[in-house]
Amino acid sequence: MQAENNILHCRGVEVTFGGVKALNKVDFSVALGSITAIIGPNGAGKTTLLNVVSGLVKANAGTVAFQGLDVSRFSPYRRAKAGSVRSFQNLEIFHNMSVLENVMTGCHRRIRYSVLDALLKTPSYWRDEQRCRQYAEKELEFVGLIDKKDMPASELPFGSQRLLELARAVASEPQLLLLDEPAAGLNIRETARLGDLIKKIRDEKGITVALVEHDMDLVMRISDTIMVLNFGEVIAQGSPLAIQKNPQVIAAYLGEDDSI
Amino acid sequence: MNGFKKDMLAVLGFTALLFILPGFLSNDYYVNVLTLSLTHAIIAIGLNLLMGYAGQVSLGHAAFYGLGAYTSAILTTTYAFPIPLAMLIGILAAGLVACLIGVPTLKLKGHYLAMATLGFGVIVYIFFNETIGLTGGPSGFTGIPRLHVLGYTFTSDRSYYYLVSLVLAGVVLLSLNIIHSRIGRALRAIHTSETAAQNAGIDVAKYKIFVFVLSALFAGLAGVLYAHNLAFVAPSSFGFNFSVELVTMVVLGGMANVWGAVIGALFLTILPEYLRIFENIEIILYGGILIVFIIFLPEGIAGGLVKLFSMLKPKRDDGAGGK
Repeated sequence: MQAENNILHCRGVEVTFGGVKALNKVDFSVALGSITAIIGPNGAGKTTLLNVVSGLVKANAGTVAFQGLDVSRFSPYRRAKAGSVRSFQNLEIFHNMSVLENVMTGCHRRIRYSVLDALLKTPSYWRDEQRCRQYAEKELEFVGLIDKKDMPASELPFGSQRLLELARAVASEPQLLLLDEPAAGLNIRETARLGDLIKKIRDEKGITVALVEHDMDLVMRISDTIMVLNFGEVIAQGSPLAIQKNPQVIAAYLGEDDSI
Repeated sequence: MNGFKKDMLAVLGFTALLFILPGFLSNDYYVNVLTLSLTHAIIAIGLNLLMGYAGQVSLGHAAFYGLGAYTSAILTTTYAFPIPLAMLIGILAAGLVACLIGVPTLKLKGHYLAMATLGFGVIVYIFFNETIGLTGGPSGFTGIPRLHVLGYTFTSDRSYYYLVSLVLAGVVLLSLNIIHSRIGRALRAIHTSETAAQNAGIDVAKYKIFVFVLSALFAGLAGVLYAHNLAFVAPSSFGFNFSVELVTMVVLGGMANVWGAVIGALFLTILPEYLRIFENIEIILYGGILIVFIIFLPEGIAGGLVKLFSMLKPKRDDGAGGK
């Protein structure tokens, strides 16, 4: 894969927790405009890798390059500002706000009036707030939550909270969207809808998606590329078809399933 | 837009209420108690922005109040500064000191701010007590001139009461404006999850320092108003006990509710005056009332009122967003 085509490029990433090597010399790249999945058995280091990319975990060695820029030393906030935004496995919605306000918070950087504008309610405050509301409503429409916009976010059912998190992430207009087990806790119908939505995010909004996921049907259906981690090491990377046929993957991953 | 009109109407109604109130009070002593409670409300609103909205606890806000009061008192009395200028310096001094404490502590996660402000409050209290040449020490600082601006002197207690009412109304309006903006959303986001807030592109450290300094500026503002009303300040008004009382005002009135802070401040400042007649058991009653309120109104008085209204009102959702 050519480097210019990669929106994200991790090289030699190593993370140790105490004596445990969670990630060992991981090279991982995400092609611009692709949907890339990271799979692997429990404890393989998938979420750790996502945390390294989003800045929540600092790597002991290795670099993370985002859009050709070395972001290894960036705080999570600066990475988000640069255009890489994530979702969380254990939902991190703002439960003290309404559904709409959650998504409007996602628009934080798309509007930029100052504190003074807010204090004095200047015309630029009104114009930007209006724009922010429109952006947010558009994203809620996109994920199908527009009729719930005035509800307290905490009162949404679990599946809808996932969609809300997705809307909030998309609202910040990222170039790269990182999803940490987006289908966890969803039923079959909800998972199918989620798969369509992720494809739509890439196709209609042009956002590159990288996701960690356990649901193999979903992964095989939507991914262009799959990367397989086992015990903190990359054991394969390729198309869904190639991965399904890879003997190492079958041994490490699917084989383990049989032995249970 | 609807929300702003509602805020404006509420602030206007509140100001009108404050202006009518002294007409029912026969005694200037009551007016003074009311002025003091409104002064406390200014601090409580700031502290509520910090605690109720952004979720950061300060146990030293009495010190910022004291810094404002003493700075203006000393500058006008000892150094003959013009009063408005001294007041401005007093407010800014509180903000500047907050900035100095906030920058190192607010970058850390956890309750470092609470610890730092606790220590800071104690240090400032000792400073007021010990630098007798500057502050007059434990016996207090006397002879502070009453406020006069543009040739008008606020000689009567009632005129000062009206002034403080107007300032409070301004503080309420500015705070509501902050809350209903991207800044307010950022603060509430930080309260729930700093990780998610960062992920939304919010500079968490910057906003925490901003709201801490803003709350200190409000406390400083209350301090300068206090000094030029009573013409006398003493360290005992700015100790740790008062810092805790301020936190109680916010919690009792209602977290994350601007009006809650006002209600809490009025309630906790006026209540002891009514309890005076019970003499010996005054403090027991005071504590008992607080316990009962916290048990039965966990969301504070304002939160309880909101619930009561929503129960009385026919069920209808409107998305004006939290008051």
